[in-house]
Parts: sequence; C-alpha cells; structure tokens
Amino acid sequence: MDSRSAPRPAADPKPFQRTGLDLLTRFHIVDKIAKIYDPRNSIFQEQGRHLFETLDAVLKEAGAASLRVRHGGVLLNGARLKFGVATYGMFKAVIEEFRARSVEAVTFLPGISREELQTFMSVFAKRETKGGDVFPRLLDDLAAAGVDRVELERSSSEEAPQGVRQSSARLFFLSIVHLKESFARNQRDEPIKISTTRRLMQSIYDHIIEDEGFIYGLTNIKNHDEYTLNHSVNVCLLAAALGRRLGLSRAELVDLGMAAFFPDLGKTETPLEILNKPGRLSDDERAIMEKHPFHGAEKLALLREFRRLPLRAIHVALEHHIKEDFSGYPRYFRKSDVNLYSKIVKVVDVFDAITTKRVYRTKDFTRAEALSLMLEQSGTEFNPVILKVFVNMMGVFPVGTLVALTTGELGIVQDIPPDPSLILRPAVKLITDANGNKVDGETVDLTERDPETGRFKRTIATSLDPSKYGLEVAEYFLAQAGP
Amino acid sequence: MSIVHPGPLQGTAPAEPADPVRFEKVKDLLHALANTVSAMKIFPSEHATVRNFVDQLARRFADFLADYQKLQVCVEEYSLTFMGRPAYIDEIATKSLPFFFFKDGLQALFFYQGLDRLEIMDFLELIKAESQKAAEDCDIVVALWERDFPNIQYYAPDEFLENRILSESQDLRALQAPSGLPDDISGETIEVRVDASKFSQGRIELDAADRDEVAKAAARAAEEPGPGSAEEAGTANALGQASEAKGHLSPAAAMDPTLTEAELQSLETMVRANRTISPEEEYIDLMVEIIFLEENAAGCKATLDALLAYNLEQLELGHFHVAALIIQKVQELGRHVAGDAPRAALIEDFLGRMVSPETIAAIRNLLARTKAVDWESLLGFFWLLGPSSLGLAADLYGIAPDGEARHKIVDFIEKTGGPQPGLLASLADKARPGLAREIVGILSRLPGDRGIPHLAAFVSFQSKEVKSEVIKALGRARHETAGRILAGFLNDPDEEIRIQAVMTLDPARGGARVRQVLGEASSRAFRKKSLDEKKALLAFLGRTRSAEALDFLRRRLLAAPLLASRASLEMRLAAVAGLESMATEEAVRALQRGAIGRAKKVREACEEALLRLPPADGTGP
Repeated sequence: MDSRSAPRPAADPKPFQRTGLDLLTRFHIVDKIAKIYDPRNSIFQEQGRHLFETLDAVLKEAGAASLRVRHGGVLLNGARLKFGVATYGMFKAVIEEFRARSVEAVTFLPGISREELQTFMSVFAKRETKGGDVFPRLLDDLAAAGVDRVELERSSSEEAPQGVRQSSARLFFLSIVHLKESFARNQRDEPIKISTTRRLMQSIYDHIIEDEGFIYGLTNIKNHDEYTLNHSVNVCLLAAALGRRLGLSRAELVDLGMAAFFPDLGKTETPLEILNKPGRLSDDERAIMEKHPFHGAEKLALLREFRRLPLRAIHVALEHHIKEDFSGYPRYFRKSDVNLYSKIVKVVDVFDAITTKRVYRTKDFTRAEALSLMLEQSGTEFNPVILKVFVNMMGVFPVGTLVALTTGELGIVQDIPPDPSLILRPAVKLITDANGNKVDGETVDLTERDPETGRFKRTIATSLDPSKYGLEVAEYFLAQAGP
Repeated sequence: MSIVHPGPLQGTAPAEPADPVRFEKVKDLLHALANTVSAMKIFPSEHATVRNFVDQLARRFADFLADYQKLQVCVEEYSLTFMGRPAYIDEIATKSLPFFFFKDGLQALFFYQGLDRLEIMDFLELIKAESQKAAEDCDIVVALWERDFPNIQYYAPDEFLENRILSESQDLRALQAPSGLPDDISGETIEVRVDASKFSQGRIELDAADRDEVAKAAARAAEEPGPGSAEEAGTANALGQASEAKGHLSPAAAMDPTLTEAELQSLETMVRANRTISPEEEYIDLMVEIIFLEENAAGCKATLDALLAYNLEQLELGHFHVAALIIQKVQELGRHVAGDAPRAALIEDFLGRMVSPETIAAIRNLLARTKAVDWESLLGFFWLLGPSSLGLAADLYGIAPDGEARHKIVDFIEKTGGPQPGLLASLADKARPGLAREIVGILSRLPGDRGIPHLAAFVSFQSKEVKSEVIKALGRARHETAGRILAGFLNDPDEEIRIQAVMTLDPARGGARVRQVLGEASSRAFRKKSLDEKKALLAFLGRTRSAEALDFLRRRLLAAPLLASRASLEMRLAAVAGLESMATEEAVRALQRGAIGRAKKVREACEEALLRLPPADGTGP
C-alpha cells in the first residue's frame, strides 16, 4: 500500500452495507465466470459491466475501494460486511479465493477503466493457485497484463495449516478439560470459571473461521468413557459453526457456544446406571432421565456467576429436548416458543448423539445416514430451515464420512465446498488405493476434471460405516494436527 | 490463537533501534497513550482535560501512521516495546498499562492507518471499562475480541488460555485427566500424537454388499453423460433427484440446498426475534417455568430467592418495569398452581417479600446514583403490589428528589390507601412531617369524611405544621368527631395550635365544648394564658350565642374591681372579644355599657368593637 489515507466507509452504514454486498457479489460472479470464459465472452462482458458500475459507485462515494479479508470476514474500506445465510457461501468463496492467492486486500484505484477491471478479474481468477508462492506470480501476471490501477496486499498472517490444526486439536482437548473442571466445580458448589469459558469460545470461533472443515473433522472424536464431555464439546463446535452459517454475529456466536457448552450439566444429577443402561429405560427411569434438562437449567440459573453466563445457556439447557412441534420434554406451563439457540443446539445435539456408539442404542448411524434420518423428522423434531442449513453446512457427505469412490479408492471427507451446487463433491483424503491397500494419501478435490474427457476425475460411489472396517476416522484428523 | 497479527512478532531487542527518529516518535506516542488512559481514570470522558489528551494522542497516531502505515507494539510485563526496545515502562503493577495488557496474555498490539479519533476514543473507553471491572471479570483480550476494532488488532497466543485452563483444572486437586486423552494432558501443555505410520499399513477389503454398491455406482458414472448433463450443469439437486429416483442417494442428496425466499424470511424472523426480545422478560419467563417444573419445595424456594435477588438488582438499575413483570408473571403462576397448596404458599410468601427493607434500600441506592428515575414505572410496580406497597411508597416519599415525584407518590398513596383510611393514617410518622401533612390532606379529602376520625392520631404529633393542617381539615369537616378531635388540641402545648383549634371549633356543635371552655375560663390556669388565647377562647363562647355564654361574658366585662389587676383587665378585654363575636343585641348592649366604664382600655376596646358591630337598634355605625 502507498501512504494514501485509507478510504473510509460512508457515514450511513445501511446503504454502505448494501453497496458493499453488491460489490462483493459482483466480484464473486465475475470471478466464477472468469475461470471459465474468455474476457471477450458476452456473459463475461455483461457481468463485467455490472461489476464496473458497482465499483464506480463505491469509488465516487469513498475515493477508493479496498476489499480486505480479515478474521474470516470481508471488509470494504475498513468496514466489515455482514453476511447472512443467503450470502455465506459467496463470502466463503471470495475468502478462499483471496487466501489461495495469499492476498489480504485488493484496492481498486480511481480512474480504473472497465477494460482494466475485466483484465484484472480474468488474471486473478485464472491464476493457478497450486505450487509454490502464488502471490509474486500473480503480481507478475498483472504487471504483464498492464493492470496498474489495482493494488494487492499480501496476506502475512497466514499460519501454516499444520500450526492451525495443531492449535485446533489442542483447543478441542482443552475444552474437554475445562468442561470437566466446570462440572466438578459445579458439583462441589464452587464457582465455574465463566470468563475462561468465554475466552475459550472466542478462540473456538477464531479456529472455526480459520479452518472450518478441520473443526468438523475433530467432532469425529468420540471418547466413549467421557461421552457427555466429548459430546458437549462437539455440540458446542457444531452449534457455533451452524450459528455462523445462520448469520449470527461474533458476539452472538460466543454466547451460542457457551450455551451449547453446558446443556448437559444436569446429567450430573442423573444416576450413571440410568445414563448408561443398555436397552430400554423403564417409565420411572425415563422420567428421571427426562429431568436432566430441568436440572441443568436450574443449576445454571442458580450459579453464583450466572450474570456472566449468557441467559440463553439456561434456555438451551432447558429446551434442547423440546421438539419443533413443541412435544418432547419438559412441558412448559406458559411459554409457547423455543429460543433460536435451543433450536440450533437441538439439531447438532441429535446429530452428534446418533453418530456416537452408545450401549443403550441398538444402532449408531454414519454421519451421512444421520442427516438423512434427521431430514425425515424435519418440521416435527427439528426446525426445517435450521436443519436445511445444517445439512448444507455438513454436506451430503459430512466431514469425516468414509466414502468409496468410483475409482475404487476409499477416502475420508475433509472439507465441504462452499458452493451448495457442489455439495456432492467435497475434498476427500485418500486412505486406500484402488486395490484396497492402505495409503496416507493426498487430499483430492472431487470437482477436479480429467482434462482430456472433461469428466470429473472422481465421484463418490457410496458412504461406508468406518467401524465396519476398524477405522477410527478421528485419527486421520488428529494426525494432521501432529507436531 | 485469538489472533490477529500480520506477521511474526519482532524478536528480542537489538542494541540500538534501526531508526532512532521513529523510535522517539513511538516513545512519545506510547507515553501520550498511557497519560490519556490515566486521565480518563480521573476525569469523565467529556472533560476538557481528557478531550485535550485524546486530541494530542489522535494527532500523534495520525502523524505516525501517515509516515509508517502501521505501528506494532510488543507487550512485556512492565513495558511496551518497539523494535525490541522498551519505549514505555511502568513497573507499578496496580496502575501499569503494560501490566494491564500483559496479565491477560496480550503480547502485541497493532495500530493501522485508518485509525481515527473515534476509534481511539473507543479503544480508550474499552480500557477504562475493563480496568474498572472486578478482577474475575476483567479480561482485556476478551474485550478486544468482542469490540473487534477495524484498525486496532492484537496478538494473544492460545498458550495463555491453555495454561489458564490447565492451571484452573489443577487447582481442583481431585480431578484426573479425562481418560483416553493424551497422557500429558494434566501436565503443562497438551500434545496431540497419532501414529500416522499405521495409515499406510495393511489393506481394507470391502464386504460384498459394499463392493457391489461401489461397482454399481462406478458403472452408472461411466454411463452418465459427460459435460452438459444435469450434473455438469452444476446442480446437486438435479443429480440428487436423478440418483434418488434410482434409489442410490440419500434424502440429504435429494434435498434442494437452495433456501427459498420463504425459508430465508423465516430464518431472518427467527434471528431478529432473538435479537429483539427483552432479555429481562426472557429471564423471568424462564425462571417462572423452572419454578413451575420444580417439584421440590427447597428447589422452588431457591429459584424464587434467585428471582427475588434479580428483582433487587433490577430495582437498583431503575428497571421498575422488570420488577412489575416479575410480579405479574409470578402472580399468573400462582393462579395456575393455586390447587397445589405448598407451592401456592411459597409464591404467596415470595410476593410478600417483594416489599422489604431491601427493596427500599435498592431504590435508595439507585437514587443515590441518579436522579433520573422513571417514577411512572416505579409506581406501576407499586400498583401491582397493591396496599402492601404503601409502606414502601411512604418510605420513598422521604427520598424522592423533587415535588413532581412526591406528587406522584402521594397520588398513588391516596388511590391505593383510600379504601383503608386506618392504614393511611398509620403511614404518617412523626419523623416524616411532610408525608404526614400529605396524609392529613388525603384523609380530609376522602369522601363522606371517612378519614376524619383517623385525624385523631395526629393530636400527639410534634410538628406544628402537621397539627395546623389537621386543625384546618377538622374545621372543614362536618363529621361529628371533628369537634371532639379539635378539642383535643385545646390542651396542646403550643399556644398557636390551641388558639387555632379554638378558633376552628364549630359553635353550633358546641354544647360540651361550651361547658369545657367555660370551665377553663373560670379556672386559675386561664389567667396564665396569653391575652390572645383568652380572647380566642371567649370569642368561641361568643360565637355560641348561648345564654350561658352571654351571661358569663357580660359578667366578666362588667365586673370592675377597684384594684384592677392585669389578669382582670385581660379577662375583661377577652370578654369584649367574646361579645363582639356574639354580635347579638344583648351583646351590643353589654358593650355599650362597657364603653362608658371607668377603665380606659376596656372602654376603648368596647368602643372599637361597637364601631365594627351593627348598633343594638339595628341602624349600624
């Protein structure tokens, strides 16, 4: 960047947000088109014109237009653009595009012509992102194409993925330690360290935006001896990620994470022989079991440090077994609705629970099966819109799903593409070759095509039950976090 | 990783800064920052001193960032360093700005071009707010994260959080590391280790069913059209539906991933509702539901106690509408569980405890902090409590900051206490004469003089003003007990009160009073009274126009001892006043006789009285 003063957002944030979103959307559309079409193509030209007009409006208003990727969000001229459920995929795609090229900011300078803008977009979109340092090559390409009214700022905050993953995995286990300690403190009537919980949630949020797919991968960890703790941490991670998709703010996501962290605090009141009883519970035992939301809520409500705990934590503790049709338990005497956070936690709680082997359950489901099962109960057990967003988030083949490819290879789903239209084509880590020999293989992108036939190189044939083949999926993720 | 840092932190200090001019600028800037933080701890933010400090600091930041675009400062225990050298040092932990950052694991701060005065001010306010919090609540890193400044970033590594969690966990000695976790979890750090070599050892042989499934899918994939097919068009839904029709893909794959307008709208409504609902109402609703669900009396009471404590907190914050909500909702619950006697009793007890010395203390604390109290909603809260809050309202009267607030309280007391005048009278307190006067007013205004008998309670009050109000009220009243109560004031230690009382006595209802006054006027004690009081007493007799009174007054006027004492003179003068107020023909004639008497003062008094009265023949002066 040169030393010019940074452009500022307009005083009135609402129109600015609209313009900013418009600019980002246009950028995203042209970026996608530019990967396929030549700049002379009429679709490219048409969309390029829209992008130019939007950019021109921003330049006239603010003097410059700087798109910056920071903290997993996008800033226009220093102001954070807010995303919602409808724009999440677009945000994520743009962020990925920037990251893949090690670009932190793109600044369009006044005087840029439509032609120069289209040239920039074409070069930017087509720049191969694999193999070595992309950023200097992108700069060279732009210079060669005569683009001089667009400035790029290199991203210097990228941690090596290994470092981020290591940190994420440690955070996962730390969360269990902290939750265990919180349960113990609560049982001893000692104050829970809520400020530590809050800071932990903030860190979890940071990790989710750094490497969302890996966080989903960690939720494959199923520690059967510490089921409640492990489950609570999984629920917390998935709830925060889902809340982010739903457009909740940073602060709301931290509250949601905290709310999702403690809902099973009441299980400390439930006898272990009931919690872990194989087979069906008697009516009396069921009645005791169904008391745990109430006990959890009551414990939270009476915490001495309750004021520092989000109120919604009590909601979630009390309501996470109430169904969308208001059946389930407990039964209210007056309230006729369920809090949004409770609806979110309800979805992720069931998902994690039914994908975990438990002595009392006759069948545990693979992640893909779980989503299908849950969809059958959309509208009765789950809020249909939240469930739909969750399915989009997890993908048809959620992260951690063991899949067989049409090539005969086996792999584990690593990441879901942000574009819902590519939901069937996640990134997959290969764990066997076509002959079934185990390999510590690379992660392949199922959207990749064979350049000769134009067909996709690999397609998922089916999902498999990892336990049937003695696989611990979580280990494949934890290995990525190794020192 | 709470992070946000644009590159590796600078290493340990070089001996000399590479750019001494730049270093000096940073030094000045950091001192200005620390001084501004200190000033803000002393003065309010809008104070001229603070404004001046902030202006200077903003100027320094602007100049520096215009030249260098970015400022990166590292945080040490007692110093802020730039380019590896301390640029600001403060070793007194209680006030040290570096230590304030350091204690929460903050290792670096980054300030970027674009930082303006507004953002600087927000940053300073944040520091101030955090530094005022209790130790267990204060965490500058948490606060910075929440505030998410566009041009101020920080670096606080997760190791700090890790150490904190592990040390807090170790504090709980009985805890053991969760089984199945890495062995060293209870040590100082967590290491995640997986033997990755096993990933490439051995084979996975699919069972027949899975093998068959894969083979079929592979065959289908080979048959499917290439580019341009439904899948190629890029719609998962198209693929999902196509495959679903063949029974191969799951319902999740068949689902259209795009959210419809209606779904987006529904989601937006949910999120908005979540943001707009009052957290207080949400909390009360929840607590009420918890009370409803609680089967154990002790648990029920504990939750009610928590709600009561919350009520006090809200009162201290001036959120009276919240207190009102608590009452409404608990009353509703009370009606719902009316058949459950033990629980209904607990709720009844709770409602009773809503009015307590703690309640008034909470409101008193609020008033000590601010005058901006919403009295309407406070009284709204009282209305819900009904007459049981009258005592509280009376207490509040004394601490109400202005006439308007007092007026509203009196209005509430009048309307709520009206049906129970005895209760109203009991609110009056000798120590609160202002309120007592208001209550006298209320009692006197009650229809049908219902409040008049209760004014008797004020006869023993010390306050002259109160008693005067009571006498006035009694004077206006037609209630038969008014005279009796007024007579009680005839023995008041204060002469003015006695005079006012006797002047207020109704002569038409004076039978017993006439005898009382006559008796008094004939007593030796009467001589000791002042002339004014004597006149007032005998004027009362005069107003009765009774033969008994005329006889008494005439005799007193015309009795002319040879050696006139002061007492006899005053008695005669008082009799003049009595006859004047009697204003009958007989009284005029008596005055005419007095006007020709020997005693000059008596004579003059009679002459003056006659001038004010119509003549006995009715022609008038």
